[in-house]
Amino acid sequence: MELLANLLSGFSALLGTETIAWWQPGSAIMIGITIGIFVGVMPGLSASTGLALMVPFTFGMDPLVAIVFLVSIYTSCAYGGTITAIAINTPGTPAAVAVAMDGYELTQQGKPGRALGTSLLANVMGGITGSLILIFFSFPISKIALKFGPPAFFSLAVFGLTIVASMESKNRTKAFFSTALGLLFMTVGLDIINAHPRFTFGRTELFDGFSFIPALIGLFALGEILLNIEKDTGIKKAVKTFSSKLPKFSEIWEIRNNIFKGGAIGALVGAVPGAGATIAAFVAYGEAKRTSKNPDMFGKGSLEGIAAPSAAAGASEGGALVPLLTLGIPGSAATAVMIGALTLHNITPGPELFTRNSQLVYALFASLPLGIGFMLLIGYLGTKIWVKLIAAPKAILLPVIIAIAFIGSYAVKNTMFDVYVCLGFGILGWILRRNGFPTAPMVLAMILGKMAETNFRQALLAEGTWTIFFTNPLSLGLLILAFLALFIPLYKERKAKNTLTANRTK
Amino acid sequence: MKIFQFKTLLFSFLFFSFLSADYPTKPVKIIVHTKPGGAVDLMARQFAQIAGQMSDQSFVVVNKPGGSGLLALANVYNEKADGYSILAFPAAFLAPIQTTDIGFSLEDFDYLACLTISPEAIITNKHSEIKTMDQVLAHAKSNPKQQKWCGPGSGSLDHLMGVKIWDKAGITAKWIPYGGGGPAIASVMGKHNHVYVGNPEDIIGRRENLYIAAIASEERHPTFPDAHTFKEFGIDLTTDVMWRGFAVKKGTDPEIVSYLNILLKQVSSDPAWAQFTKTIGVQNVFISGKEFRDMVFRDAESAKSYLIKSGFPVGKEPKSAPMPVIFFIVTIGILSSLIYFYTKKNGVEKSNLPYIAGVGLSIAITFYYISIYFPDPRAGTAVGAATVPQVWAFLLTIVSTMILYQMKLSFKAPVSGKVRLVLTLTALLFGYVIIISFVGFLLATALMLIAGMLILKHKEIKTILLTTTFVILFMYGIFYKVLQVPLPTGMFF
Repeated sequence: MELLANLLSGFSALLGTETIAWWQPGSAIMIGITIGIFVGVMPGLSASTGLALMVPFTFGMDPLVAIVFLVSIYTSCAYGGTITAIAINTPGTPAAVAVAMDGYELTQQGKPGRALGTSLLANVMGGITGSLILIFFSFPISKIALKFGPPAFFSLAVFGLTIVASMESKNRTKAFFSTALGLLFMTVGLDIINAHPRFTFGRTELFDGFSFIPALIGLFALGEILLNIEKDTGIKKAVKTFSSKLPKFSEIWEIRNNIFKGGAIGALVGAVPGAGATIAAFVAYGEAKRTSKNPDMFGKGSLEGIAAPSAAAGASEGGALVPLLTLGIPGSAATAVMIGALTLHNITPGPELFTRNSQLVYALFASLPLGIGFMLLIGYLGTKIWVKLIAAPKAILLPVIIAIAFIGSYAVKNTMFDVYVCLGFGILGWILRRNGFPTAPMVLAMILGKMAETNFRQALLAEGTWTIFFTNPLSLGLLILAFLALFIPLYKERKAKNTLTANRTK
Repeated sequence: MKIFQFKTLLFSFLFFSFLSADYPTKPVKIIVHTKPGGAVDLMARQFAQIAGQMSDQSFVVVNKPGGSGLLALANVYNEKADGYSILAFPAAFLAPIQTTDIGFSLEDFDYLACLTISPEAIITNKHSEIKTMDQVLAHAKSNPKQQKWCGPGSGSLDHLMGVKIWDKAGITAKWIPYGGGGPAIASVMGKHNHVYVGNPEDIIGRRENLYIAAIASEERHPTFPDAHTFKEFGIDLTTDVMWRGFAVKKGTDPEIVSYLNILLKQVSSDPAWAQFTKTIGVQNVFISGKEFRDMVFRDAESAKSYLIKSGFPVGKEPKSAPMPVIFFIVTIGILSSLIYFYTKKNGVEKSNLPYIAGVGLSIAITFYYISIYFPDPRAGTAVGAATVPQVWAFLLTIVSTMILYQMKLSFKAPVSGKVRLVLTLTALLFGYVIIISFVGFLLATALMLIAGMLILKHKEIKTILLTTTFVILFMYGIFYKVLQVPLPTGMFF
């Protein structure tokens, strides 16, 4: 009851207080959502870069308006990222890579409307799940999140990596090749434990390793463009007509379980500091495929394959606010920027926030559903525009995407080196894709590689023994999950093959 | 309040116009080594805001993150010593600048002033058995080398502070480095580690969970009066502070230096600045000139001795693998020719796959070769810098070999389309990134767009020009003007 009263006061704060005019919070949400979708759509502008660039604008705002504004940007980025992933196979955010696998497939079949609609609805429903979990369970979840020590983080990373096995059933060897290459590339840079520069060839720019966002844009955006040019699909003439028809409600209803499960996975994984939206999206994709009645449809434009990671990405944003608000600890690069921004407004996130600035916290909570509603509206109106945009002549569209990809790469750290990284990974992406190597596993490996190594070595350093990965219950549980994720698909296939041969001999 | 501000304005106006009439005539850049939102970035932005009101020109924060801060240092070092690039200089620079051979040193900067300090402190979990300094010491003494201390980075100032505390207190413990302060604090809150080395302000907002065991200062801290000092436990640590100041490249006109110093003094006595430092929990000070320089070099000396003590290479080149690039090229050459002759001899269908596997194998072998020369794991740890890369290299070797093994089977050749068009476009992109440094980002982008559309055979010149204009205006307006991304300008613009 107290919670409801608090929420009500939060809502009323959004309608204005003594210091805030009635229109300010509402317009902050609307502008924030619009900017967030824009940031997500632009390849190369990640949530963290986007937020960082917007921080200076909040200086003159009232703290409540500022926090609502920043949170709105943050929560809508994930949706924006899925739009370009589906439309032009250029994930705007790392989490959207998982959405691109089936979403872009549908676009190529001429049905981008179906894919965009599914992703929008799943994102919105995931977002609602995430907000509800944040509002009602943030303190219990934060207690679980704190239980994650180095051994558990290591096992979580291993679990994440094993999803590659279930993700790609056709060319598994090639998927593993991409994974291994991604893992190896992620060891470039200062080694976290000894601070020894590894594979940096004397370049200070490489001390922090390859910047992730430029590498991602290279692999996907540039790689896709080069592949498009090579295949000459529709450079001169529009080969396909794109339909902006949205999916039927009954179709969405059929996959409600995937959406709900994706949302729950997203909120939980998002709440673990350092895990984040990308792992959540991939885990949700793997889980949807595992439990699906039509696992063969995955990778060929399955609605389930779009809905699950979209819902997870949408929910993980709410999840990532849990450690931020309850512990004052950033769960991701984007939330780290938010902590800095809040500090400037004389607000220090942490458990004391709930007692000292409770109106602010509950206004933030109240702003989440409003923002999601607004996102649904913009997303619905936007779908037709996106479909029109991808029907533009490729000779015009492709160079423009290149220009945006390069400026986005540059803006991550304000250095030309990242533009070179983007170009290099672009050529790599083209070579890999034209020969049938999937690049999504590489992205997953690049995200998880560093997490796996850092926590592996921290755990060994702290405990001094290998057994810690099996004696720590959280870690053991995740390792068992990893084992299952790796071998169940193999076992199922073997079984299917056996029955097939058995039937044939009959 | 108003009168005070008016006086300040009048004073600064008189002083500045008198001192140097020809500086600043354009906006002054403040180079920051963190992303926006980091602690140093917040300080620089606050400074820029207040200083901009006092000076005729604006102060613009430019973020150059990466390379443990070395990229920001290098950025200022490579600019002219004209006072238009000021470096936000935190104590955190002292360790990386001494362990890396980057072609310049602390001697290459003029130190303006230090504006904030905060004593080093150790923080524990409030609900842990090992909470107070006495408990920390007792536990460490009965469990030598077992107590877990953590903080951001390895060889960082916090790490070295930890080593110094062990040294002065006569205890031994383990250092568990983290990627940043946040995760390290979380690990103490989750009781995965015992002690976090940081500063007292790290507990703000989390006083229910965290406890300051001791702080390194002579007196009790004004904001955290309950926190004991090391001195109260008989440990001689009274002057270890984390400071943040500003520096310029050495050789900057002394008049500009004194202009900036007066400006810094003005800012540090501004009420808005006082409020800001109070919010983030650091002490508002003004230490300038020789006093600041002495502090920098004193702390650098101390950092150096503890770096050496903890086994970091200071002043010596770390061993590295000779000629890694040539090694890589030779490996690729050997493997490719082997694959070529094998496929020719056995009449395997022509395919790129074996060659890609060959390149993968070469990458794995080269990474392995380079990693052999990495330093040995420290005593007490079985896993060193080389272990994990070697595991991944081994994995890549297995997968590449599997692909090569399947070479006997026939491969479906990839759909080969307009490879020449792809190569032309790639060449265009290489040309694009090269000419950016000559003609600037926007003009180069315009040229790339037009050339790209022509290469892709778009016939309507009108659409090409319109799209190009629109994209350039969009980039200029949104990225350069609104978001203040410092786009590279060329030699000519």
